Amino acid sequence: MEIVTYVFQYVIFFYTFFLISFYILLAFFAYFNNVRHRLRYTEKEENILKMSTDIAPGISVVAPAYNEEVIILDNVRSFLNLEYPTFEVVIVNDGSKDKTLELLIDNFDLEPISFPYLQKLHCQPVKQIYRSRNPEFSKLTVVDKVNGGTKADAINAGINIAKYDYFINTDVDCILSKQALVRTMLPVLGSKTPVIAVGGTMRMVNGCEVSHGEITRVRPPSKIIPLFQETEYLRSYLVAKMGWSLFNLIPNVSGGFGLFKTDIVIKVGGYDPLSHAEDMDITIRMATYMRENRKKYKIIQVPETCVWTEGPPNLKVLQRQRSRWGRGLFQVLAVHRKILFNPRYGRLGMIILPYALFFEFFAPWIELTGICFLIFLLLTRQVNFETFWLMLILVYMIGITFSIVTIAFDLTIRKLYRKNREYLKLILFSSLEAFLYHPLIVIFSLRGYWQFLTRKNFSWGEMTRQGHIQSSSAPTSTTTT
Amino acid sequence: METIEYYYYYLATLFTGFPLVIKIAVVLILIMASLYVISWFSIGKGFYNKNVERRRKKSLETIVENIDYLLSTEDVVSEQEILSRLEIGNPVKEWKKIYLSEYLMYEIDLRPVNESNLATMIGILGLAEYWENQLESGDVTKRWRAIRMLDSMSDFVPASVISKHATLSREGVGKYAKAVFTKFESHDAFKFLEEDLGENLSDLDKLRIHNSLKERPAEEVLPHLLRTAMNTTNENYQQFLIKEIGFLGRTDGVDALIDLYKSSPNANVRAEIVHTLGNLNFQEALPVFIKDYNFVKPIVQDAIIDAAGKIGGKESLDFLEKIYHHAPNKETLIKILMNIYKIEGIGTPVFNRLKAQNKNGFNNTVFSFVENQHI
Repeated sequence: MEIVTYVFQYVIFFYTFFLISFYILLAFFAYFNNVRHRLRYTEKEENILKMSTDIAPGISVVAPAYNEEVIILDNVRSFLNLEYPTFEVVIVNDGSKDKTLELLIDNFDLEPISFPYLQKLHCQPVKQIYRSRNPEFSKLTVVDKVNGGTKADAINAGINIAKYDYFINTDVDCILSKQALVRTMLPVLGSKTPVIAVGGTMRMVNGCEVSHGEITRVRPPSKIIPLFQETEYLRSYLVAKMGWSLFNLIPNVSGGFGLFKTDIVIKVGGYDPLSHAEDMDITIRMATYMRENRKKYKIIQVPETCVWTEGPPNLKVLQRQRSRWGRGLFQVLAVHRKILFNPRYGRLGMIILPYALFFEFFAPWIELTGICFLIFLLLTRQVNFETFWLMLILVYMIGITFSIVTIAFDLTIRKLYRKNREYLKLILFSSLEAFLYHPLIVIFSLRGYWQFLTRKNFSWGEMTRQGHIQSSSAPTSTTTT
Repeated sequence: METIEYYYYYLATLFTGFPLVIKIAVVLILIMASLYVISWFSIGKGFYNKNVERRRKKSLETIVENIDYLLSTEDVVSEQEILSRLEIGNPVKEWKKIYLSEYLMYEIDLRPVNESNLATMIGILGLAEYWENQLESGDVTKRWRAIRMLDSMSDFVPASVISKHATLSREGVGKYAKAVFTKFESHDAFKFLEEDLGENLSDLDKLRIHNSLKERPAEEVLPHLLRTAMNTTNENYQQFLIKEIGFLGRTDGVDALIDLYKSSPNANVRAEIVHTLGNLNFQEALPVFIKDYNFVKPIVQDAIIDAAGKIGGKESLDFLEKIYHHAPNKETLIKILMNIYKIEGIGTPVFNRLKAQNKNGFNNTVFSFVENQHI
């Protein structure tokens, strides 16, 4: 038993050591990447692209909707208000049981059209395709299909309709920044290596003011869970993904907002409806396809905020979201196991997936066993309190250091919150994250692993929508099931 | 250095005899604590800079109002009056030059302005000289900022300001400088276009060159584009140049592209030539394309279908009707029907005849779709 205790302590320590070392390196890489990005792409380049109506590549914005009557109108308006020379908006109504489709038909003056629908990617049957009689909404196409039970199935239907070389995969509960398309397309144009996917930074809409589908005032969320998520998201995008992006090591372009090369997605068979993490799965399959065909590729992250999404407002929804992410990670590692540690797949097999395995998949296990072990040591009076406090400080500092680094990065990119104290609020809450929020994430992730192992059936997209805070009115709240 | 050494040895003695893990933990804590403090400092600096920016902006409110007047008025205002209106002091502080440059360039992009007054203001404020100096800076951030500013001011500064930089530097700022040079040089604007501009071009570089070429008269640009397209060995650059020829809307001398079409082994280059000649409505090219249709790659075939639709006429229509019956896939079928439908006058009767032959199934949907597309 003594040997087990001894070895386990060292394993935990060196695991933490490597984790912190990776984070420190990522923070430095992210810093350089942020600086480089800001140097290359400014408002000047954005304006050049916006004016180039004749040669700007077209983008299809594809957004599935399932029971989204509370927010559908505002968000579709936000899509239609995007500033980009050539784009279309494809909304996929995935068999909603509420008034999502009726609201779209009434408010955007839609009528059914004859459309030569070609099923390039597998999905549930499409019932009808609608376009607007009103030229103001000529960019909008609405696809009404039989519910497929997953976002992947709906997005595949959208890709079957999409007419441009690139598409944005987003959710209809997301509000896009007006410049989102320009900002994600610029690095595609600026790269000499073909870019197959671009991720944008995502923030919480909870707390922001929205008017006619546009964010008019950015604020940190007022509720505690989305507030923790705001820092968590920013940490993931501005430190982790920006750092990985410098070496083309991005493991996952988020399902909330990502630009993809349409033909590559079609070649890899589209999104997998059976996947619980369809975004990570498609990113890995696209990278695998490029590696196997010996084609050069890049996956890029942009630091600017491109999208605002409604974060889980309560524990129940957070639990559902994180358990799904946990199931998804487990599934991705299981499905793509042949790539793990396989030198044939280069950095994908030797860095990206091993990192995901050791520092994302194992992390909740190690944290849980670590806590259990600590309790055991406390009960058996084997704790050396001099080193205990040192190690506790070490672990606590991981969270607060990288949160504040993130907030500092965010400020250098663009000051979105009007008041300084709103940033201070974010910093204050990030210092409590280790005690109040992180343990929950560990439990929910482990629950997801358990669900995956016990093969339970799952559905997607059921979330209590809060509605957005309108600039001049009170927030609305409706529950959709 | 001695102080650092002192503290290093001091810390080392403190931890003498401690296990390795403790030493590592202390080092990690120190690194993270440093990052923590630096981040706080950076956040504080960010807040401070924003406040300074706000105050400076406020202090320039009256000057900005006067600038707005000078840009909006139709009167050409004398240098003396502009000087007295701006009341900006001499020498003009660096931050004022940066702020006012940004403001002026933003206004130029936004609305039509009184160019004479603008040129006088740029001269009085010494903006062109300031950004020219910045272009020589050792700091790459300053150089990028400077070239962007000079690009916006290109109508008001001599091309010689950036020609040195364009000649010396091949990457990044240098490539941008070459594009700007092409935009506003009066004597030898296309020298970089014909020399080495094509090396390692990204699509963003192409976008910048495209915007520069748009600013010059088509008859001046066309011979240079044609000559470079015919002689370059860089197929990526060749494709770009051919596409640019299409945007000029002129056909003098473009028959040379047919020779290039016949000799080029690259399908992408050939497809680009077909698109360009289609956009230029160059009828002489049609027989060559029709003759080649069955022997070229799908990307070129698709381009030929589109070109036939754009060029139009009986020959195109007969060709499209013929290949309609042998379309290899549904996407090509839709493309062919769309092009038949858009051939003015004679396209619609053929379209209706084909529609009458396909009253059921997928093809019928295609016909309705094509008709709706053109409503």
